[in-house]
Amino acid sequence: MPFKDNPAVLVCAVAAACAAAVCAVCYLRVLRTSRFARVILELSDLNERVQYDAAAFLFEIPVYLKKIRVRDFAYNVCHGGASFKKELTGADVFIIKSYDDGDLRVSFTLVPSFSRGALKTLYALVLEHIFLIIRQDMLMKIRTLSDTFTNVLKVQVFVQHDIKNIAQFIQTSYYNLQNLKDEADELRYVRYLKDSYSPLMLKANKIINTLNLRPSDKQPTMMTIKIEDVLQQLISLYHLQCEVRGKGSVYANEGTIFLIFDNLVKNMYDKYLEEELELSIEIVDEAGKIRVCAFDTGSPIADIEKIFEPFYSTKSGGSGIGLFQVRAHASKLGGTVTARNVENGVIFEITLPKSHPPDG
Amino acid sequence: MMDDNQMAGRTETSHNVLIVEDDTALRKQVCFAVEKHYTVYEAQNRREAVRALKNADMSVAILDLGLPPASNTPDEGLKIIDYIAENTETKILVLTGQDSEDVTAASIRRGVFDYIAKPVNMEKVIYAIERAILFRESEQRISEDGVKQIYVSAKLGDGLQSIREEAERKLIRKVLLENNYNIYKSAKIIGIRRENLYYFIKKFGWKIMRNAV
Repeated sequence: MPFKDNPAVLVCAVAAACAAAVCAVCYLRVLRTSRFARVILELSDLNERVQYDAAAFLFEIPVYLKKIRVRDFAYNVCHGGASFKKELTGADVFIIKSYDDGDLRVSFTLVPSFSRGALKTLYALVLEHIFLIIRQDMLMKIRTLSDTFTNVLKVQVFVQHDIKNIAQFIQTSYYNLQNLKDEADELRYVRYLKDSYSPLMLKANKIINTLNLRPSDKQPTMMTIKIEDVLQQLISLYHLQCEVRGKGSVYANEGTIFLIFDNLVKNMYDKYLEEELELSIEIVDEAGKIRVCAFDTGSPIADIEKIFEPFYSTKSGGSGIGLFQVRAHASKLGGTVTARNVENGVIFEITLPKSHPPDG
Repeated sequence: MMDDNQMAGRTETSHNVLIVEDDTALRKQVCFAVEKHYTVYEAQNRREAVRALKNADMSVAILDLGLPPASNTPDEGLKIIDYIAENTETKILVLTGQDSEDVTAASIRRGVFDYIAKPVNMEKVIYAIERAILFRESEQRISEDGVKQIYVSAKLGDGLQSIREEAERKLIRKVLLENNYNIYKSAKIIGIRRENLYYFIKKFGWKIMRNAV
């Protein structure tokens, strides 16, 4: 034996063999760890592919769990009386993770092929990852459902309120028509109808726009509209004390312009009813556009940029649709809407392109 | 329901009717229907309603509950009911689209005379005004005989202390208002000593304001 004469060679050989063995073990472990890591990443991709649908995700995971030799798995997801679950096929050593907030219950069980040492940690990592995915998907779904439900309810309450008023308007008009006594009465009634016409049109327009939520793509009827007249009409409708300075016209759809400025003035009106404040509006005729600055001396608005988000409202029972519509419609016309807190109040600024009739 | 001849025979216009409605088109129509029989005042929010109530003695208030700045809740309307109940003899007819059981109960608890859900035939509203005025006139007649009527909502099981206090508060407030906060006269009408009346004014946190509600 060559090692007999040279024990040092023997020691080196043994050491080299040991090192090779250790390297092999390490290499295997790295391979195994990277396999687990790959599966974890694939599970994240899968969740994205099934669009964060927990049920679809759980339906697809067996393929991935097979790659890391999971012997069996089980889950139980319960929310609002509905549940989907899979049970273990036999009694075995398993690891489990669960969550229960009274409304949502999630549990996930994994039966690993080995349940000791580093492998146990890797399986626990996979379990934790799958559990978090399911829980997040479910919480996201619940939140989305809840928000949708709340928003639908807001629109419903708003529309219901206005439709009931329109129905009452019809009932009352019918009663009034039935009870007209003479010509003087008829003339007086026509005057009342004239007073009713404009706010009624505005209301009907608002209901239709709320139901549509976003501006229609249909080609609207266009005309030249004096912004100062629209504002004066709305200020008078809301019985507001508000000075309007400046003049300016735009060529646009009358309904859209009324909708934009009605929401703006209504917003000022609501604030005026809550606190003592002074209001003023300035119209600036600039090159190619009209800029309308509405100023109130009221308290600053918290999270001011959020007020243009759909369904966001700081008012009790507010639908959060008005200012969203203002911005959506102004953008559609190529304009902008901003709001900012200033030293002694709040400024809403609307810019609209003047545009011109086709003949110039 | 009264027919036209019966209507014509009454001195209805001597009564003031306040119409509180934020929907301008509807308010104009209701005004037209009511002003044939009564003197009509309009308000489209709580601020205007309170101003009108301070300026004239309203026999009846036709009140929409969903008013700005919170048109989709009954909050503003309920605040007006509280104001009317506390400061006036006005009968309240709620005419509203807010017809949930909770809102109806909250209004009735505050002592509204009638609660009508929109949409409704206007004849029913006119008829409700008639009845409200009839009740108010009867109450005023009874009042002339030294009998005051107050409206107290009581929850059974809560004991009698809260009911007693509520009755005391409403009765004293009513007499003080009717007598423009004349302490001597009010104490005499109620049948208590002036010192006791001062005690109640302090207890209920009122400020003595002549010619003001």
